Amino acid sequence: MQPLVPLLAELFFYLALPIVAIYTLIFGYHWYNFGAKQSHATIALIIFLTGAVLLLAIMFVTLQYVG
Amino acid sequence: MLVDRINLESGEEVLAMSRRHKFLILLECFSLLLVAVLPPVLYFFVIQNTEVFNFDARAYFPLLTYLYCIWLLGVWTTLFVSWTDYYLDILIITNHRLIITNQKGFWRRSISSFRLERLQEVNVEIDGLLSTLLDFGTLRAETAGHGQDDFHMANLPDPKRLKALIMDAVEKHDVVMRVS
Repeated sequence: MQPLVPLLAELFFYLALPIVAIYTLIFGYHWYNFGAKQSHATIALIIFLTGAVLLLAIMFVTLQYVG
Repeated sequence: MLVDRINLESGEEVLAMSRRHKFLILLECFSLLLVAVLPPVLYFFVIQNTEVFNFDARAYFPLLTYLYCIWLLGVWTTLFVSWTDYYLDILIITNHRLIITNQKGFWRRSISSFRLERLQEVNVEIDGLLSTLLDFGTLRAETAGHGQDDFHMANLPDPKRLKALIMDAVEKHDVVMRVS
């Protein structure tokens, strides 16, 4: 049972990567196409990506200690 | 961008653009903040009462941190989904039309457009204590030849000013129509 935890954690990490990428594309599409200002869309995208990449980086680091 | 998609007519100018009141998105942010801080609060509660739970959560700190990051990633994405819904719901008042764009989820959006000459009546509803204190409410407009609730947008800030702006635009538009 014990080796299953790091395996599942790794699986979740590699699942999270495309999910974040897909959400980034969806947000970008909506904000750039239907938003009022291009600058708003750019700022929002930078903020979203900064938070998401930071969380993914912490996940990647903690992945080494899980198990 | 939005204004390019609306296809403004010649001589048409945007007089005002309005979204739902900021209080509502702040309320959503606050509830998501509570959801975000819930796991650490539970964690500290459990490690303070290790004897009661008969479980030492500190031994699983890396795994719990990892799970918390997944939790936060979900909260972070939900926050931006909420913001997208707020940001893309917009009322545009031009000197020719009223345009309302309504985003429902990611893949459903409606754009309603009403010409000012067809507008019969504009009503404002401010319902409740918070709406009264923070001055937000529902704007309803009736157009000729349609049902009662032809057009409405809820939780708009300063709805009386928006109504005045629409009525002013209607009057000016009527004068232009009569002259031409």
